[in-house]
Amino acid sequence: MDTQNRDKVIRFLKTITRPDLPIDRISDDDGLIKSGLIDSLAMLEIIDFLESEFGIDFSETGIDPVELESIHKILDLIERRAK
Amino acid sequence: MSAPSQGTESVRALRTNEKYAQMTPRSLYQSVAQFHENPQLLAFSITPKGNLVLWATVLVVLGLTPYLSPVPLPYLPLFPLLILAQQFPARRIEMMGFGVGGLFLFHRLVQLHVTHLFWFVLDAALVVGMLYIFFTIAQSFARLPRLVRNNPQIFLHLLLWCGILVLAGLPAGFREDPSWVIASNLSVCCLFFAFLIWRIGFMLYSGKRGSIQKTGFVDHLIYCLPYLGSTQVPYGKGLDYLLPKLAESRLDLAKAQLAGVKLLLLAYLWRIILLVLDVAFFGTFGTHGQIVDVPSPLCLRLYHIDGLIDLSTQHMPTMAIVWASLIVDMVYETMQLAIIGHVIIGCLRLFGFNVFRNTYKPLLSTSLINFWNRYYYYFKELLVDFFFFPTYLSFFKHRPRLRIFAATMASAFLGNFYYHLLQHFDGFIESGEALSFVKFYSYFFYSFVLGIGIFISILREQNQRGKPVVASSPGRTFWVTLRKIAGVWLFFSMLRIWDHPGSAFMQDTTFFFAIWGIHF
Repeated sequence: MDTQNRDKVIRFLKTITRPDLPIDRISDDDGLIKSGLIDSLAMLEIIDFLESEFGIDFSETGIDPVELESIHKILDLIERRAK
Repeated sequence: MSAPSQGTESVRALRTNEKYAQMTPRSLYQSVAQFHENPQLLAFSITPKGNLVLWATVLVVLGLTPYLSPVPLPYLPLFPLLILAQQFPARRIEMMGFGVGGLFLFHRLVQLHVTHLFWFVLDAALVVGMLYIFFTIAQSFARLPRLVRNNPQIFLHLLLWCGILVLAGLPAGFREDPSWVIASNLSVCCLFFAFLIWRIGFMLYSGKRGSIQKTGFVDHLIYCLPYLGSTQVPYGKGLDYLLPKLAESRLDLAKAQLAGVKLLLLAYLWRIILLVLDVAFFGTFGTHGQIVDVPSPLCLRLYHIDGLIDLSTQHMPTMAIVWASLIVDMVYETMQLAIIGHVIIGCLRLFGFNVFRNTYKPLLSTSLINFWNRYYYYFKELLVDFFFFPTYLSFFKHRPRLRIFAATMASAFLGNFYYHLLQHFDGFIESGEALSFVKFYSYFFYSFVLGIGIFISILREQNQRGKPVVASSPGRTFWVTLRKIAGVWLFFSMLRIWDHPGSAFMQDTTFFFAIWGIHF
C-alpha cells in the first residue's frame, strides 16, 4: 500500500477527528465511525478530500459508505480510483 | 481433592465480592447495560446449557411480542427459523430469504384479503416475479442505456408513477367488484411495488456497484420481502450493507445474539415505561383497544398531540398543560419508535447481522443533526442514500456551503416529503382511500423547517469539528449539555405540531401561534 497516500489520509483525518481521541489509537481496519473517531457528517469532508486531493469522481458510481468505513478501505478506494 | 477445591472457591468468591465492592454505581450500570459483551456470559452462551437458556429467553420474549404495542407483527413465527439459522450458519441467507420472505408474503396477502388459494399463489408469484425482473435488470446494469444507468432511481420511480396513474383511472371501489378481479390482483402487484420501492432501489445500487454479481436472487429476499420491519423503510438497508455485518464465527454469532436479546429486553423496558407515562400523564391504562381511564387525581391529564390540537379549537388548556403535553408526547413517540426498532434490529441480530440500532439514545442528543441521526437511523439512511448523496455528488462541487444546503434540503425536506407522499398512495392503492392532500400542506412545512434546522445544525457541527475542547468545570459542562438537550427537545416538540395523524396546516399553525399568546 502506498505510504505517501496513507500519510496524506492520516494527516487529513487528524483535522476532522475528535481532538480527545487520537487517530493512532485505532488500527487501519477499525471502523472510523464505529470507533467514535468521526461522526457521519465527517464522511462529507472525507468525500471532499478524496475528490480534491485524488480526483476521485463519485458522481458516476455513487457512494458506498462501506468503502469509507476504515483507513484501509479508504486507501483501497484511492488505489482503485485515483486519477 | 475437596479441600484445595473449596479453598479455590473461597478465594474466587472473595475476589468476586471485592470486585463488586469496588464497583461504583456507574461501573455497575455499565456492566449490566453491556452484559452482551461480558466474556464469561459469551462463553456460557455457546455451551449447550447456555444456548438452551438463550433460546428459552428468546422464545419467551418473541412469544410476548403481541403485547408489545405498537409492534405490528407477531414475531414468534421467526423462532424456528432463528434456531435453524444457528444450526446451519452457511445456509442462513437462503433460509431467511425463503422463510422470512414467505412469512411476509403470507402476512401481507392475508392483510389485503387475498384469501382464495388460486389468487394467493398467483399474487405471490407475481410479486416474486416482479422482484426477479428487477434483480435481472440490476445484474445487467452495465448494459442498460446510459440515461437509465445514470438515473436508475428516477426511472424506477417513474415506473411506479405510471402504475399509480393507471390505477387512478380505474373506477372507485374496483377492488371489491368481482368483475374487476384481474385488475384487482394486478393492483396488488403495484401495491407491493410501491411498498418495496426503496428496497428495489438498494438492489439497483448493488447493480450499479457491481456487487450484485456475487449474489443470488434468494439472497436479496432477506430485505426485499421484509417480515422484519414491515414498513417502507428498509431496516438493515440492502444486501451491500447487511452482508459485511454477518457474523462468521460462532463467537461473533453469540455476540450478535446476546446484543439482539439485549435490544428485545430493552423494548419491553420501554413498554413498561410507556405504561407508566400513560397512567401518570395521560390518564389511560391498557393496550390494543382495551384502554381504561385512570381517575384524575392520580395523573396530570396531559394530551397526545392530536387530542391537544383538537381540544384547542374548543378551549385552550393552561399553558403549563400545553407545553408539558408537547414535550411528554415527543418523548412518548420517540420511545414508541424505539420499541419497534429494537424488536426488528433485535431479530436481525439474532440471525447474526451485527447492525446498528434504529434508535440510539436520541433524547440525549445535543444537536438537531445528532437527534436526526439517532432517532430513526434507517429512515435517515434512506434519505441520505437516495437524496443526500446523489445531490451532494452532482451539484455545487466548488461551493461547499451551498453543496451541503442543496443536499440537506433534497433529503430532509424534499425526500422526506416525497417518502410520506408515496406512503399516502399506498393507502390509496390498498384500500381505495380517497387521495387528499390537505394533511400534506402541514407535512410540507414540517419537512421544510426540518431541512433548514438540520442544515444550520450541520454547519454548527462542522465549525466545531477539530477545535480543541475548551476546559471547563464539570458543573458548567453539565449545564451547557443540559441546555443543548433542552433546545433539541423544544425544537422537535414544536415541530411535531405539523406532523401528526390529523394534521391540517391552518389548524396546526393557529395552534402554534396560540401557544405563544398570538391569536387570530
